[in-house]
Amino acid sequence: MNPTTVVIFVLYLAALLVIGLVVGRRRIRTPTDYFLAGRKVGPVALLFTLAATNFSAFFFFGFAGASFKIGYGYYGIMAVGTSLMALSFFFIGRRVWRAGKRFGLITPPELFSVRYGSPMVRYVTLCAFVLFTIPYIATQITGGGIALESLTDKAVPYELGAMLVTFVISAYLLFGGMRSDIITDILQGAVMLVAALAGLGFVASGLGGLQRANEAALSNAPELFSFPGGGGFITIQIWFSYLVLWMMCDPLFPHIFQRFYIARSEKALRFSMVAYPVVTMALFAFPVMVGVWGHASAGFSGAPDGILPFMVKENSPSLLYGLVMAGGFAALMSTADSQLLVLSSMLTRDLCKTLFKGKLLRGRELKLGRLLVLLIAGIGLVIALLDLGSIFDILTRTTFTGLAVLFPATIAALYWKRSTAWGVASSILVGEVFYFTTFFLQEKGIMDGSWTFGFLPAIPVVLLSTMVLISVSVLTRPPGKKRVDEFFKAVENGPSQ
Amino acid sequence: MERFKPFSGNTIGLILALSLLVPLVIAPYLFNGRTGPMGFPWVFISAVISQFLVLMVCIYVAVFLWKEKREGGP
Repeated sequence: MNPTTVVIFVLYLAALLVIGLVVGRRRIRTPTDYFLAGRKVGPVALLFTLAATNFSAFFFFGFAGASFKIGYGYYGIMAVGTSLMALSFFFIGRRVWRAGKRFGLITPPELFSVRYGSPMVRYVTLCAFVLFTIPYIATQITGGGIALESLTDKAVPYELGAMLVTFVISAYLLFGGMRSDIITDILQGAVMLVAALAGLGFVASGLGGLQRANEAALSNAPELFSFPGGGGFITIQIWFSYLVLWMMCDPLFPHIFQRFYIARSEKALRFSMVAYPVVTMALFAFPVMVGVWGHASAGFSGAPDGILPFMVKENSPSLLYGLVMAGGFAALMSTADSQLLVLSSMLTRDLCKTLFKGKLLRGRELKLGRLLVLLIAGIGLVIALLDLGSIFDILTRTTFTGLAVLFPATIAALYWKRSTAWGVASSILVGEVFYFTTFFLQEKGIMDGSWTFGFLPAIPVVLLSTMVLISVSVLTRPPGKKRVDEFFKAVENGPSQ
Repeated sequence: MERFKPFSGNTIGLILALSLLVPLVIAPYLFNGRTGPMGFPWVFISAVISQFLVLMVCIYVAVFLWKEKREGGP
């Protein structure tokens, strides 16, 4: 265990805690203040929080591990698809922001509730958002435990590391809510950026420069330098699936969706849309290159997700190793805190508040939100302490596809006046049930994956959801004209100033 | 009322199609297995190029399609 790296790491966590607590304590009087930072987030802060929130533990550790196995083609799968997701700030984010401002929305299910006037749609979307976010929180906590164990040469066991991450996040969220979340996201985003660029430089330098690193990796693992990559992973169908998958599921992560509400103006969202691909381009190169270069360096024998810590440790001074590991932590913590907050807001407003109706006063709503932050963090920690398989498998096979099922419903809510509550609810329920059925049948070996024709399951599942949505909407009664007109007037023209 | 036409005109569709075609078609089938500057493979370089095209699409959308209502407007 290197004391320098541990000191850097402890200082980093302490800084997060102090900044989150001190800055976040100001002026929190309403749920909008706590959950949305008062809808006053400017363009740069919005960009940082969107990027830091979306780039999770998987970004640092999972990317490098996947690139170690699959190769350079993985950069295209992840970076191009994620860049394309920026367009959803326009297609989805702009209308969500306008609806949020006009109707005072705080949570994603509230948008569906206002659009269709149906508690059923609200609860169905709530279930989907909650179901696929809690395991994702657990993934971030798992990443934290792994990183701390690696950083301290197992002096801090995985379980203790996971608990420490959970504690720090919960602490600053309790006091500052979204404001603390954003301020720490800015710090975390900066750490990620510096760590990624510096880490890339040191690893490349340690391997003799870019050219020599690539040549060494090429001679040891030539399949990583071409399609279909290691294990024949990147087929045309898989390539297409991932490009579309990120577009469909990333904006439907409830913590990303909620960030569309927090923008101070449309200008802030527009700035983020343009800057997002640039950030993605720069950041994603680091884990992919280092993952591939893992084959240029002898001595690595662990699980693929450990290749990035190994390479940085081998090729950098301990100071930078600490910084890069802090960057990895920044990635996972900035995602986990946002997920905790959005889950807390949804359970407070879409579940408790609707069940207790007027009995839940505003002051209590804030207290309940904070209590739920603690409760959800505890649940995430318990799940993280169970053995649930590799990060990559969990994320790809359940969360991403499960959330992509909500994509047709969201597009319909924002663009298709004739869509109905039953159509939206049916598309989500049928999509999820179908996906889970096929998932478990495949897990049990009862059926194989040939039904997807080589695509990721998300593609046929979303097609099915779309067909169900259209069919059921046509056969059922749409919401009243007044409600539809009011909603579309808001999202097409923007709220009255 | 604002008219929403995200795919109006051929430009956005063309650039999007190009951004997908570069890595999808050119890299895997024409340059597959070859390496370019500093030993980077074309599957990687083409992905970087396609990201610039995505950026162009975003700028196009921001400048020409994303219209905001003025302060005090309807």
